[in-house]
Amino acid sequence: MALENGLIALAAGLAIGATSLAAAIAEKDIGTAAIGAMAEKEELFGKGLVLTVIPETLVIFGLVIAIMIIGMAK
Amino acid sequence: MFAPKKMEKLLILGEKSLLPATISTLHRQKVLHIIEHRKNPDVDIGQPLENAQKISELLLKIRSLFSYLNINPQIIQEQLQTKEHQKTTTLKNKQNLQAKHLKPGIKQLEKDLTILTFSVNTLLGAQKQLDAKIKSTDEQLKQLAVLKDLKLELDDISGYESILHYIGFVQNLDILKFSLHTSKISHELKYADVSGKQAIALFVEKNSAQKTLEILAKVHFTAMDLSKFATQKSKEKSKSNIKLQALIAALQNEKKAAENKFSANKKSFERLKRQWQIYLIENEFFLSAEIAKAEAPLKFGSTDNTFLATGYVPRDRTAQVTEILQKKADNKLFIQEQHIHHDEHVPIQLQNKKIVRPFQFFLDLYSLPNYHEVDPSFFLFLGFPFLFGFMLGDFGYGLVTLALFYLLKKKIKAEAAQQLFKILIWASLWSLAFGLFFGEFFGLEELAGFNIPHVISREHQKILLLGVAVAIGVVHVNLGLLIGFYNELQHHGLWHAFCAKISWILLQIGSALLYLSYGMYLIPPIFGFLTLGISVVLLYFGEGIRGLVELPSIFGNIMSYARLMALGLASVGLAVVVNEMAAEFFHEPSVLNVIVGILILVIGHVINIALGILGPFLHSLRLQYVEFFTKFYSGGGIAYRPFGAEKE
Repeated sequence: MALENGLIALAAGLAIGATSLAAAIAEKDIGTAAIGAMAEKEELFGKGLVLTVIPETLVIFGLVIAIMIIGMAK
Repeated sequence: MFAPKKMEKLLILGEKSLLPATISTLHRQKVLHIIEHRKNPDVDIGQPLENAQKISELLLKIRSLFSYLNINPQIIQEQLQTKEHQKTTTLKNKQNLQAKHLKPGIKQLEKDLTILTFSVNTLLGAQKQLDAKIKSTDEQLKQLAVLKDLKLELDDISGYESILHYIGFVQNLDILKFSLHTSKISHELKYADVSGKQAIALFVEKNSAQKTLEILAKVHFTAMDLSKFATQKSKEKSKSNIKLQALIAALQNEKKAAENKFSANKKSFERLKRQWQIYLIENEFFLSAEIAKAEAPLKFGSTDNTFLATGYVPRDRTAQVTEILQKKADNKLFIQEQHIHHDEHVPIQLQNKKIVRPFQFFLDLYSLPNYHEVDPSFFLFLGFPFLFGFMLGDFGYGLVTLALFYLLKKKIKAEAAQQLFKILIWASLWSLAFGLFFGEFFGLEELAGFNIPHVISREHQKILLLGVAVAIGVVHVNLGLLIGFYNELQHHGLWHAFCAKISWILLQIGSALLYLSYGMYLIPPIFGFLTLGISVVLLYFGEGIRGLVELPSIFGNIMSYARLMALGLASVGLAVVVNEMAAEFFHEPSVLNVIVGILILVIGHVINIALGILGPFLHSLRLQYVEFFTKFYSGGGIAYRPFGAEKE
């Protein structure tokens, strides 16, 4: 039972960790491009911000999955 | 409230002789957003008014005087404004000044500027000369000081026939070794330590010059240029020998005199600046307006004898402006209201209630609405602080942020900052409300043994919290779809609006029905599949293939509101950790433990509040821009900038 719970916890951790990495990689590229665009045209701040935070959704989904996985633990 | 101000497109046509009067009326009224005329074979672009050249020359003169006199108009205006608040007497002074100087007429202004430029140039020229004089005297004094330290007199350094002298600085010199090296060739060697630098004076026979230079090169010798003193001396040799000390004293006097002159010059320069700065600023302002007027015809159309101006005017002012223009031109203008086409870029002036107005800030940041769609400021006013509060959701943190942003709003007066702080104050108020809803105070759910009442406990009812967050998402996204429905209804008719927007709502209903069938076995699945099928077909009609590809996005958008729970949990989690860490130190009270405990509490909560402002702000904004706006907003509007209101 302890092993089972441990695996569940590990899986939940993976769900968060992997999605965070994915979001980070995506945001890195978008953020760089957004800053570059803003250097040329400052009005693009709003759009740059929105585009940069779009991949955050990945982590949110990861979190939801993680919570669902933890719900399986006894 | 929900739509930008209605505009009317005006065409103004008149004889060229009416042009200056018409322009100055328009400039004074500050209502016409000019549409630049495009050159075509029939109607060319207009020429600037006659005085444009003169005015731009004067403007250039004033601006160059700004830079010479080191005047920053913005700073001085701000100073004057704050002074006005403090003392009415200074205001009176200022008014006197204005009355004396303001608007002297172009001719007088030109004369004034010529005189001022002349005196500024004279003063600056004198300043430059004096500065050079001071520097060179200073240099000479330094050299003489070295001579003095080397115990040389002026007649020691010139007038020789067979002896050469080397006076200057050396590096890393071992004087004993050096004197041994040079003992064979040197007549005399003097050495001194002049404020950390080593100075030497070496006298040798002319024929050993080569060798001396070699030795000197090894110790990095740099010679001083003393030719000035040498010639001086040789000229006056016949008269009397000037003593070094006397020369130094004379030079010092010279320097002092120059310095006095310099500071006197500086003072009169400052006086000149104080005397003229307001005059210059006022006239720069006046001339900027004049140049805008003089160059306005460049945006107008023009034929040999007529001019043609088009632009937008707010509907409620059209009649009044037309009347005034006609009155000034003896009814000789032809003014016509034109039809606004659907695809025209009509300038946008938002009109919102005072409490909603700060939220227009987010539209400036993103993109103004176009003329034909709903102005979402009111929905931002409802949605943004609500979602922010849901994420921060702590009564204690709410109090801190409220106090913080209230103070900042008092301190920082810039317009954009004011708007931002007003928004954040609203957000703090919602945080207080949600603090009560979640029963949290700095992450604590009980205070001194008393359980704070709550509706939902974020720490213990995570799944319920997730459900509430997603439910908020459903409401918010569908609100967006309904606004989108309204926008489409206005321009593409009921059928298209229904296909493009209501299909998304049907899609959600279909999925919910399927959940009832497969998750709860309440109804047969046929209802769910039917609704889904209809919604997909409608969506294809409404938005084409693109709509079908985007199908899953609606669920992604709704699930995205799970961040409301996620950020809330993170905020509570960190607060609880901080409290527990501090509590361990308070268990065994000693002076050190209590101090460390308090430090942990303060630092921990400060960090958490900083994160709790940054995270919820960005995420709430993102939910507005990405999840909400994409359902109805196209944006791309240009701001309404009436002619004459560029500079306030």
